[in-house]
Amino acid sequence: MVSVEVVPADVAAAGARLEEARDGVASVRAADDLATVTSALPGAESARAAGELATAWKRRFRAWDSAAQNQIEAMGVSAQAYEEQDGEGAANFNAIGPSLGTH
Amino acid sequence: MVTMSQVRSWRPDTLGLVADAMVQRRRTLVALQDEMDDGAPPSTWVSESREAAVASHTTLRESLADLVAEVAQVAAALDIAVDAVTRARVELDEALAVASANGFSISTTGRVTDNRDTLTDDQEVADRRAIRDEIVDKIEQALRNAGHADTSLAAALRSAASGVDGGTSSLGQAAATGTAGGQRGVLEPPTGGSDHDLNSWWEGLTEDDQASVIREHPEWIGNTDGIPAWARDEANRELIDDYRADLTGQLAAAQDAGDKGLAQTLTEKLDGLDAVEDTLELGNRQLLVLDITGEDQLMAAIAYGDVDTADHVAVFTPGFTTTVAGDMAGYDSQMANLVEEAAAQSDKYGAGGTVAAVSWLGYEAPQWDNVLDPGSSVASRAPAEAGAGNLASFYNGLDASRDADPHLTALGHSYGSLTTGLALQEQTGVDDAILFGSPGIGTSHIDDLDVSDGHVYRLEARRDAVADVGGLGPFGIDPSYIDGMTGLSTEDGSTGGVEYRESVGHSDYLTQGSMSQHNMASIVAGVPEQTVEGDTRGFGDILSWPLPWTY
Repeated sequence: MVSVEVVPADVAAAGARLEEARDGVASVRAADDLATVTSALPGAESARAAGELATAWKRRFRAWDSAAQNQIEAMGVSAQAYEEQDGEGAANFNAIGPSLGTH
Repeated sequence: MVTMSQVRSWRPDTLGLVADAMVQRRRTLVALQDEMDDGAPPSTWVSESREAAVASHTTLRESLADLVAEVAQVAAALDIAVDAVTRARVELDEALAVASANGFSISTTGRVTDNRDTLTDDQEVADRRAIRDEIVDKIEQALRNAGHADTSLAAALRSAASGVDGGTSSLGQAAATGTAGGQRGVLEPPTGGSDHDLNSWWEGLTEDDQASVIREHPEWIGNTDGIPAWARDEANRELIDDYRADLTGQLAAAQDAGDKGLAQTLTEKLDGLDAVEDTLELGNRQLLVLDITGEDQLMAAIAYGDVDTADHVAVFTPGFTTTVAGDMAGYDSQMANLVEEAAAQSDKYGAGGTVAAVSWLGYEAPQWDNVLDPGSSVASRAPAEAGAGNLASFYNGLDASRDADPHLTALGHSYGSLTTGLALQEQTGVDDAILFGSPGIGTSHIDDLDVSDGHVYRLEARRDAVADVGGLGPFGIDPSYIDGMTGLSTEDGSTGGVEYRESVGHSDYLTQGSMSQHNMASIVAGVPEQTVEGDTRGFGDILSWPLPWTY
């Protein structure tokens, strides 16, 4: 029998800090910046490469944001579950835990 | 290859705004370290479910580190590209300014056209061609630098698109990894380029890139004509230990294989490296050539003085039996004495210009043990012809590596005068030539030499039999009989209130205090009026008298 000992307030606080990190990452519009490379270097090889990178970054930043959101939600659910009923936290976390593939 | 119109349409200032923005993005992301740390499942969460939460957070944290590394890499690459594109634009603008100031036009494709269409004077044609070449060089260099900037930036962007591993440490560390990845490789020298192309390439590098080349790719520039002497010197010094290790390894293999001939050759090359290092330790020297790839010999050239800044530069090419191991120290000492004597004359009679002299052993001079080998015998032109190309390139490189050409004097002794004479049949920037103890200069006609009338000198000492063997071989007639050469005295006498002694035999011309050394120093210092002319002829010159209709 595994012992279960949780301070739900601490889990909730961690989720809140992760939410701040998510907001910070979301504020970084690096892919949008790359459009200016194309206009600054017309006809250049790096202009084409900037377009490729912008596409990759949009997908990758979006994936990270989704994964962070899932993690935050899972932690919130777990905290609430511990608050209400011990033992259900793990099942809930596994159900909605984040899945971040490699690039 | 990027085009001129493309580069002119590029806007480095706009690119700079992106670079600044990307730096800000990197800072924003790195600053999220605390939020990410605090967002990890807390230690007060003790249950099986915490393991899954920790695993998910770790994935999240490492994925963010990858993004940080990518953004940092792009920020660094953009920053470098801004500088490089700006420089390329400046170089293009300079080319356009030179063209405009001199009556040339440049098309959008980079074609340079001389707007002055009636040129009749040969000198004027040559001058216009030189200006046109300068403009073309600047354009080519600008496009090379712009192309390298574009290629490097594109590579960094595509690398980021493929993903950069930010590691498992902190976001700050991930940023450092990315920044390192954004550094571009140094532009390699143009293959097959002229000495002017190579100089333009070198001057187009940033100081950091130049230092990087010397440190990481010294073999690119150590023997490359057109590169400044200071850089060649530093590069070749970097290579000495590598060459010693290489030769030592080859020697061990040759000894294991029982190849005594090869072992002897390699031992002599190693001895040559010792001689080079001993000479460099004397100070005020520049190692301008160091080449271990010769079939039989180490090749090297060492300057006494600063070739980059000297007003007068002399290049001395010795001949038969010369080796770096056996002769570099002696020739270097003679060049040092010649420089001091020339500098003294420059101070006393000239404009007080500075002097440097190079002992150029940059070819495999013939030796006694291959005298019967037609390909490398002293009786053949082959070794001299092989060396003449290198020597002519070396002369030209001295001019190309400097903003202002020095007064350049070619000195050739014995078989080295044949090498020198052949080199001077190519277009070089040599202003004066002194050929002494010469068995022949590869031609019987002074007009074949690319040196102005009245600026070719010869010296022959009493009892120098080598100086009379011209006409016996394929070297051209005895230089004593070539019209248009000015004979300088090798006899004792006084001038300027100083007594000078006679030079006797084949190896006494550069002896300190001799009339021949004084005369050579006068030419090197650009004060030919201080020379004492003379025409030493002995019995050998009767034997070497050429029949007029035979040459």
